[in-house]
Amino acid sequence: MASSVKPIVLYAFAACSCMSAHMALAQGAAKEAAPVKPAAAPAPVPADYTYIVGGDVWTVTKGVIKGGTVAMCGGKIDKVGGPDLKPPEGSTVVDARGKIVTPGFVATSASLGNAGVAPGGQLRDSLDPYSLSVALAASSGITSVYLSASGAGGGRRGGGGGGGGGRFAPQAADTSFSTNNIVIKMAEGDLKGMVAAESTVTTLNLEAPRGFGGFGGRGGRFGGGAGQGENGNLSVRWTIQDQLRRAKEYLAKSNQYDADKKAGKQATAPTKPTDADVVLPLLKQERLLRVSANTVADIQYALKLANEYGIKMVISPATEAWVIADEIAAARAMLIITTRDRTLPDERRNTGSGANPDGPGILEKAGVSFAVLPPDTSFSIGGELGRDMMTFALEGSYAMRGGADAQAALDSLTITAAKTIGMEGRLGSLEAGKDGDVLILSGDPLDYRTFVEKTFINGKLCYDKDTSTFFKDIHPANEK
Amino acid sequence: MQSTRLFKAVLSRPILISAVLVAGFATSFHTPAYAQSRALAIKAGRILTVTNGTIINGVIIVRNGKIVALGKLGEVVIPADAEVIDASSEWVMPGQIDLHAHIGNDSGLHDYVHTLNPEFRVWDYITPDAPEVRDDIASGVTTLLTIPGSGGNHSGFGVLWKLGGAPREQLYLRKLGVMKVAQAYNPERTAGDLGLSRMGMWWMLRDMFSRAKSYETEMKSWEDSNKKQYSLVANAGLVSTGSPGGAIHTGKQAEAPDDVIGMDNLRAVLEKKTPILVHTAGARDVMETMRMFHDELNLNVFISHGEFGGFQSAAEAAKRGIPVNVGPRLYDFSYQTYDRTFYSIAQKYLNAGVEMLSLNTDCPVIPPDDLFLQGTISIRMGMDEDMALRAVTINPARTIGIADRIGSLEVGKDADLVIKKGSLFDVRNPIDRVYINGNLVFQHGQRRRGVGAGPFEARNGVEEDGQVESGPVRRGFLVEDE
Amino acid sequence: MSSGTFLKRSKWVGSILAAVLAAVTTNSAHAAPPDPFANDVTAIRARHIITVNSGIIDNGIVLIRNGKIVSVGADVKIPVGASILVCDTVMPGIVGLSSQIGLSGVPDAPAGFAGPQRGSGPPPTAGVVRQAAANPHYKVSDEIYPFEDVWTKLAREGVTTLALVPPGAGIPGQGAIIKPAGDSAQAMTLAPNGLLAVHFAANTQTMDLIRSTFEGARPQPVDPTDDPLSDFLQDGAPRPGATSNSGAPTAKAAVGAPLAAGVRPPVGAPDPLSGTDTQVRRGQGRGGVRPGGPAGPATGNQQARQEPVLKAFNGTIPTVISCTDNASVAYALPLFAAFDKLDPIYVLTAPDSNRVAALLGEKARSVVLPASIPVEPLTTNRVNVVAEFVKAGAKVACRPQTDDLEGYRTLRFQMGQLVKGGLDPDIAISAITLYPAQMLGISTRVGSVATGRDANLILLDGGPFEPGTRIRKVLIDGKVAYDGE
Repeated sequence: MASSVKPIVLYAFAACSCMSAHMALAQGAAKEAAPVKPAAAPAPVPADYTYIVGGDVWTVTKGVIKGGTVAMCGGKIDKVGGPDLKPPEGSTVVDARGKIVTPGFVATSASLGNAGVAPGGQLRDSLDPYSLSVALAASSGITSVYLSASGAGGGRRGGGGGGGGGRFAPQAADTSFSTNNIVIKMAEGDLKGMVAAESTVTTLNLEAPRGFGGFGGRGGRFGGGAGQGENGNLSVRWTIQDQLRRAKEYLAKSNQYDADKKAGKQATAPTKPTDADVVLPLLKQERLLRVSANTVADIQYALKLANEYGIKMVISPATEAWVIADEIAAARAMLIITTRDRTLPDERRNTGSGANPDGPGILEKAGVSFAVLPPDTSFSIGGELGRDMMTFALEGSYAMRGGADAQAALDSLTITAAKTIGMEGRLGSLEAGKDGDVLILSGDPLDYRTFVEKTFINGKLCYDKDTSTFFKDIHPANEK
Repeated sequence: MQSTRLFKAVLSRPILISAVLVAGFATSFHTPAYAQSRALAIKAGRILTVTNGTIINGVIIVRNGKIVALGKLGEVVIPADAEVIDASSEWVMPGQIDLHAHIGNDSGLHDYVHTLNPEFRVWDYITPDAPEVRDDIASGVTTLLTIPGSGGNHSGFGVLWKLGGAPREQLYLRKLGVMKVAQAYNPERTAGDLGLSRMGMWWMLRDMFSRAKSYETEMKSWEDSNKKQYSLVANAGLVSTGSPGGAIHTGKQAEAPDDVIGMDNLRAVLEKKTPILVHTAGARDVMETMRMFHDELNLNVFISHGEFGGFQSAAEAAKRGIPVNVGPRLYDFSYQTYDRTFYSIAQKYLNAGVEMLSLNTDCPVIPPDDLFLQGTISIRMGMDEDMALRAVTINPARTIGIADRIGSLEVGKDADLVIKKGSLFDVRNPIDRVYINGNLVFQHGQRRRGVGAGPFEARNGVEEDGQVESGPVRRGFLVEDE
Repeated sequence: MSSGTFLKRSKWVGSILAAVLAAVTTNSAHAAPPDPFANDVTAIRARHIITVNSGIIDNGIVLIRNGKIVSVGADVKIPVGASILVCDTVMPGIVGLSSQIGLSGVPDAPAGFAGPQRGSGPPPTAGVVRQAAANPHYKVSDEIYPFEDVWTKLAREGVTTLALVPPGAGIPGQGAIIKPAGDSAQAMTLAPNGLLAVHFAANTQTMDLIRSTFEGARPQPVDPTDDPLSDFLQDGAPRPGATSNSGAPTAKAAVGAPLAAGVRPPVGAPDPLSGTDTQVRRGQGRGGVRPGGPAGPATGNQQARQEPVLKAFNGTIPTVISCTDNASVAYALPLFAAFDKLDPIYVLTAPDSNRVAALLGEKARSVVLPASIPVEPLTTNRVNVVAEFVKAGAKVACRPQTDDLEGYRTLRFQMGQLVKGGLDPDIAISAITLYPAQMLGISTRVGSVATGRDANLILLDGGPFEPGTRIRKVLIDGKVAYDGE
């Protein structure tokens, strides 16, 4: 069935009752210095209602609405409903009959071809909205990307290589807590629209290269030293734990102090340790800690921290997580995994090790939530296809291959991914109030033949397969 | 190949039987010693024969490593001694064939000293049990053409061999599997003064072939002038002995001309027993490959890769009936077309009329176990599902000249089978079992890389014919009742 | 005019003499170049005079005296004794905007961060990212060597005005607007501190530096409640020479901001401008902040740093902002929008800069673009970027594709290609003459053939954009800077 979609050119000036439109406009207007113009009556607040109707709406969190409607306004999702939700006069109507409507995919890491960020530099100052990767991302259905300056907890870059397993060695050690990260939207040409949220999580790299003497330099499976963690980096770990411990003590004292003051008792304010600010929100469970760890030992150490200090944690890339799935579930930690990781097992160990293609099933059975990343987190145009971000949803399909069910696979691309970057309030599902990041797909997102037909970001149409040059020569056999 | 006929020819001449025994080389059309003794009866929900359509609710009978019967359940007699495998909720398809692999060969990719190396042959050095080979089996690849690299214009002869753990000598399907030539986009990087330009490369190849032709003429006339049988033995079977002259000296007559081991290998090419695989890309170089090898030299050639805008010469390939083996790259983006558009390379060749299209991985450029994924992506980019299955089974078999043994599920062919729920190209279900020569070589749950994690039950249903089940949660498996 | 009166006085004698003289000089104009010094007045008779600001005058005359154009028109009378030059076409001299020709080319800032950061992509292909520095007191005019032969060669190509900018990341200093003729830097310079150069890059360090530098020029309100004794209270001890409390108010400037003249630096606040200047530091001790020195205007060095920024802030001099990619433009526009009196000129070099044409066009910004029709990346589409910007509403000046002699030699030809590619020919000629002059604020002096302008002219033997046209003469301030006959 041919999709007949009206070009998105109309913007209605009808009165809009949704708050978000007002707010978005107010924010937008404040930035530029006003050019000198003769005084005029203020223009009526424009309302950009866009109604996507007729498609099967996969909300992700609340099931599927057949022939449902998604209404967007002011960059946000205004309403999600059934066929009875009719578009009002003057709104832009997008026909999605025969298609599937999903939230935009959330990438928990990506290589966008940007130049790096200098130490002390802010990611928000180094974005490139004109990069080809941004346009390609929108065409692959990825609407949000998390970037970190410290590199902790990132995905792998480059191809997984053949057969040999192993992974790229972690970069130079940055084992401190970092908050230099950002979530950006893949809105081509729109610098303002790109910045979604800054510093949404705190990161910690537990994978600093080890091997101070002893087993160092053996280039084990995880780069750096012996790769098992037991021998290495005790001082770094001590520093981390000490920092947490002192902050925890301070927090207890501070709470006590507040209680005493309230009760009118005499009390002295405790002195805050200088390095407490970055970890206090973790202890208070106000922020998520994203930890990079791969081996069983490193993951277990991370879990120890999570349990001892009550930290909400995301572990990535967590290659050996499948070995201790129950422990991870018990600690309520989330994961970001590459289902197709090819790390070889370590024959010297008695437990399982290395990557396991059936890991997703094991994890799901144990009740662990995971988001997924492909082996190559870049948007390649070199000719090889199937392993990089251009086929992002395929990683969810591989999670199913590994035993996870379809819902967990869909979640891994959307809502769970949003949770791992602290953005579940805005991204990852089709619910009123969330960002207007919506995809119209030609079929099941986990079906290898499905293409993105339209991508809406912040309520605006950012990609249209029919008008873009990218896939105009591609016609999947199941194209309707 | 006329192996059975020639075998009879040999048997009818007693002297040749002894010659064969004296030669002491096992030929691969003998019953392999490792084949299973017990018959197998595999009941399958779908049998994708590739060449004769799909059988719904069928059964395959395997004995001594071969398919001895297949058909609908009830129409085929299941032997009483057969081990029955219940795959009635699954699909069975032939094992895959990868015509461009650099794995299973730890001896080094290629030599850089000379740009032409007809003496080199990979079959001397394969490592059948390498981890990546085991990965490959786990993904349903059962036959490989392991070739030397493209650092030189002609880096040697690749070997066509069967995976799966048979004794070494029984692995070879053809020792001189293919002559590997690289005509563009690599050899120039390592060439010296000669061979840096296309002109230099092509001159050297032409020169080598002209010398090979003289050699062949000389050798052939000597062989013909002696016993005719010599040439029969030399031409018999799929295995070139690789020994000097390709013939057995039983004394007599004038001295044989001096053997030249590289030239001898080229005889197989000139006599069209071994095709030529040309790594080539770009419209101009694809065209030149075809013109030189097919038009000028009149040899069996097939195009390998064909990317970087090579599809623009697709019509010429179709006209000449030249097979095209696409991979690892499946698309060109703006390459030689300059329009910021993705083109499916395979689809472009197909649309231009190329029939013998197959896919490869060029592993380890992409992982070897992604051959089926090449099919998945090709389907995504427009290929028909049936075509994709042919592209990894019967088409590569025909391209390399081994289709009498593998590439489809037919009576008399090797029992190389892949069993899984749903299409081979549907990523969402894992491969359940792989049989090679009737032996179970892989079963899901067996960690392909070492420590086993125990059998694991696949939880999901299979996707049928593009019918998308509504809703994110899928249950059960549907077998179509026709 | 005196010549007219002269003629009237002695009609007979004068007219005969004039006729004879005219004949003689006209003849000798073809035989040997007339010596302009022989007469006050030079007259240029041209088949076409491209005035730029008021159309083309056919068969007109331009009168020059004392280096200035005194009259232009079809019916201008040539006075007696004027030396006459004849040519096919005369146009204003080319005004080049944003060049580093003739400079030493050594960037001032040391190399800073190099290489990729984890997790944010592959290494930058552009190479080392330079650490930005703010050196508004550096002057390009300090570096000009008038006897370099590059100036005469430039003049030969018809370049009569050139805006030089210093190299370096951040705010590398003040540019200079020069004419390529003169025997001293002073003589060459039109306006000594004619512009402030900014090399923009999209990263935190550069943007923070630029922002704080300009913010520092914002006048701070004087706080009457400020306690002059705050010097003492800051760290409990009086400062040496703390006789500063003589009434000059302490500015509560933003930390890190330089000061408007006449305001004392707040104690303890590091001043990024004076702080990075080693000369200041050497002479002044800690951090360049004078610990309570005599009140009153800032030191000479501080003033040297602050003045150009102030002028740029107030729009007295233009700010030339070069952006090497589109992302930089997207960041620069909102950053500079906070300074509404600023007079920005954006110099763009990216081949796909048409993608930001709308952004710059919507506020009719001044943009300097290379005179070329680049190819859109990954395609064979050639995009007339200049025409796109004009269509979007921007004001466009053109500079050569390469900032060297060869570039200027082929500039007119490249402009011709742009015209062939759809650019309005009037805009094309303006883009290398009037518009850059207007952007630089020197349009009363150069950029058009009009009364009162400097006599910077190119005499051509054909249309300015025709490939076969050659330059016959170039006049700078009425003197022949290049004679091609």
